[in-house]
Amino acid sequence: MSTVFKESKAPVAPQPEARKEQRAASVSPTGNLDMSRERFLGFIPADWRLELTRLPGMRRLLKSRWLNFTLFVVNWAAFVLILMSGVYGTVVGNHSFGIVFVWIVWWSLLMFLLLPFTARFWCGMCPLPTIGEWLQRLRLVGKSGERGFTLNLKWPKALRTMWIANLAFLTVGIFSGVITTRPLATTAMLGGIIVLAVVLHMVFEKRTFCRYLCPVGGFLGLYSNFSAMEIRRKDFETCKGHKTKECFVGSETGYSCPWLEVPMNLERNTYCGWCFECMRSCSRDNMSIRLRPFGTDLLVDRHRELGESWKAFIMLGAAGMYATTMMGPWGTIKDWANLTGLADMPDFLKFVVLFISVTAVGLPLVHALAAHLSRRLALAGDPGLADPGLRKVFLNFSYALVPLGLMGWAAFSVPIVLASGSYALPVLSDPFGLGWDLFGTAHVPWTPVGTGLFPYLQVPMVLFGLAYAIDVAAKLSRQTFGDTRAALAAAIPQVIYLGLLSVALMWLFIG
Amino acid sequence: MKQEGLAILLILAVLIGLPVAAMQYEKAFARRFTATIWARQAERGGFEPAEIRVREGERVRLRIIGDDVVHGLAIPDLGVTVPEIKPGEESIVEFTADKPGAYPFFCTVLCSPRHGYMRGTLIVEPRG
Repeated sequence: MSTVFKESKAPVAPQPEARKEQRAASVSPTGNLDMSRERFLGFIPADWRLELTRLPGMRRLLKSRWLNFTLFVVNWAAFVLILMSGVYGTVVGNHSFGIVFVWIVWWSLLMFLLLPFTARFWCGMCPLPTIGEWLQRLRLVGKSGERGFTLNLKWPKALRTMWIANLAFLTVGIFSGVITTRPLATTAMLGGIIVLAVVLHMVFEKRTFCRYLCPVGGFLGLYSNFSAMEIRRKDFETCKGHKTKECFVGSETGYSCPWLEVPMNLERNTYCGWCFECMRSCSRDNMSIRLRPFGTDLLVDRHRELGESWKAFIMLGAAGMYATTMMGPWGTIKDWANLTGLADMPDFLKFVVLFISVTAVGLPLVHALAAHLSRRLALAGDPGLADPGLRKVFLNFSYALVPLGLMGWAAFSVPIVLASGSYALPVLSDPFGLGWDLFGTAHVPWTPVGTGLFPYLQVPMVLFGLAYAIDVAAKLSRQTFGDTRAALAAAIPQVIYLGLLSVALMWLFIG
Repeated sequence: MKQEGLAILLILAVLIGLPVAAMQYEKAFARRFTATIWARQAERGGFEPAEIRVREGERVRLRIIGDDVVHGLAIPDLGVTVPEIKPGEESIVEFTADKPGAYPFFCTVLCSPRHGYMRGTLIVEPRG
C-alpha cells in the first residue's frame, strides 16, 4: 500500500492554521479574566505553576523514545490477558482478568489518579491505537520519515468535533450492564476498538481515531481540562523567534504532533495526548510539564463547542444512571439494563430510552433552563449590558459541570474499588479462572474494606466537586457578562442548579 | 535499527509469546488431573465433558470449574461428593475407581429450572 505520510525535515514556515493560532496566542485565552488576579476556591492562585520538567532527569526521561513504548509494552501485556480472558476461561466476571482489571483496577486508577492529576497520560500509554500508529510510521520506537501504511487523509472538517466520541460513549454506556459483567463482551468491545483504530489509522492521518472517535478519549479530553497538570510551551518569545516550529512540523528526533495540535500554542488539555513528541522535537527544550491548580483550562474561552457541552451532560448523567442501575435498589431498572438475549430486548429498549432521556436530553434541557434564567437575570439587572446570547451562556456554563462530573465519577468509583478491589489479587494468580495459583494469591478471599466509610468519602468528594463547580461557574459568569453585578445575578441560577444536581448525586450514592 | 529490532522482539514476546505461554501452562496444569470438568447450568450445556473414562484401580483426580452459578457434584455409587462448586473457582476431588461400571454423576445444588438435566457419566473400564 503506498502512502503519503512523510515528515518535513527541512525548516518549514508554519502553515496558515499555525499562523492563525500564533496570532490568537497574543490575546488572552481567558478573555476578560485576568488569571494573575483569579483565585480558585478563593485562595489558590489561578496562575500558579510548578515546572516538573526542571526536576533532575525528568526532561531526559520524557525525551526518550522508549518511555511511551515501554508503557505500551506493559499495557499490551495486560491487554493480551484481558482479551484472552473473554474467550479463554471463565465467564464469571469477578474471576476474569478482563473484567477485574478493566472495570475495577483501570477505571479506579483513571478516576482517582490519572485523570485528576495527569490529564491524558493514559492516552500516552493506551495500547489500543498503537498497532495502527506503528503501521503508519513503520517504526515501533524510533523516529522515521518513511512512507507508512496510511492514506493519510484528513478527517472531514464538519466532523472535527466531539459529537462522534459522544455517540461512541453513549453506545458503550448503554451496553455497560453487559460489557462490565461479561468477559466476552469486554473482549469484543476492546477488540472491536483495536480493529477500528487500525483501519482508521490506515485511512486517516495520525491520531485521528483518538482525537475524534475514541469513546474513552472524549471524556478524557473534557475532564483533562480539570487536571492538575499541563503540557505547555515555556516561553512565547522562544517559539516566536524559532522559525522552524519543530513541534508542529516534526524534527529528526520527534514527530510532528500526532494529535494534530500546534503544541507551542496549546491552551487546553482537551486534545493533548501526552505522547511527548513535542518534547522530543523541540530543539530548544521549550516545552514543559507543569503542575497547576485544578480546573484552569475550564476558564479558557476558546475552542469551546457544544459537543463538549453534551459530553459534560452525558458524563454527569451517566454517573447518575450507573449509580441507579449498579448500586441503587431499583430492581426493575437493573433488569432493563441487563441484556441477556433477544427476549430481553423490549425491556432493554426501555433502558436505552431512559439512559438517553436522562443524559442527552433531560440534563441539557435543565441546563438550558438554568442558562436562560442566568441570562434573564443578568439582562434585567443591567439593561445596558451587551447580550451574549443564550447559546453562549449555555455553552460557557456547561464547563462548570466538569468538576462536579469528575468528582461524581470518583464518588461513584469508591464502592467499586473498596468493595471489589480485592478481586484483583486472586485474578492476578488465576487470570482465567482455571484454578491456577501463579503468585500464591489465588485463594485470597473477597475482602471488602471500609464499607462503612462510603458516605464519608463520597459526600466530601461530591461537595468538593460542587464547591469547585460553583467557583468555576462564578468565574464563567464574569467571563460571559463582564465583571459586573449582572454576572453575580447570573451566577445565582447556576448555584441552585449545581446544588440540586449535587443533592441528586448524593441521594443516589448514599440514599 | 538495533533498537527497532529489540522493540519488535519485545512486542512479539508480548503479543504472541504471552498467549502461547498461557496456553502451554494450562496444558501442563491440566495434566495434573484425570479430567477437567466445566460445571454450567443445563441451559448452557451442563457438565462438560459429560462423559469421563478412567481405568479400574486408577487414582482419579477431577478438577471441576464452576462457570456460572454455584453447583455441586455427586457420584453416589462411588461415595464421591463435592458439596459446593463456586462460580469461577475450581474444586478438586480425588478417589480410586475400584469397580468397573458406568456411574452417573449429578449436580447437587438446585442451580436452574433445568437443574435435573445437569448430569453425566463416569465410566470405569475394566483393567486389561
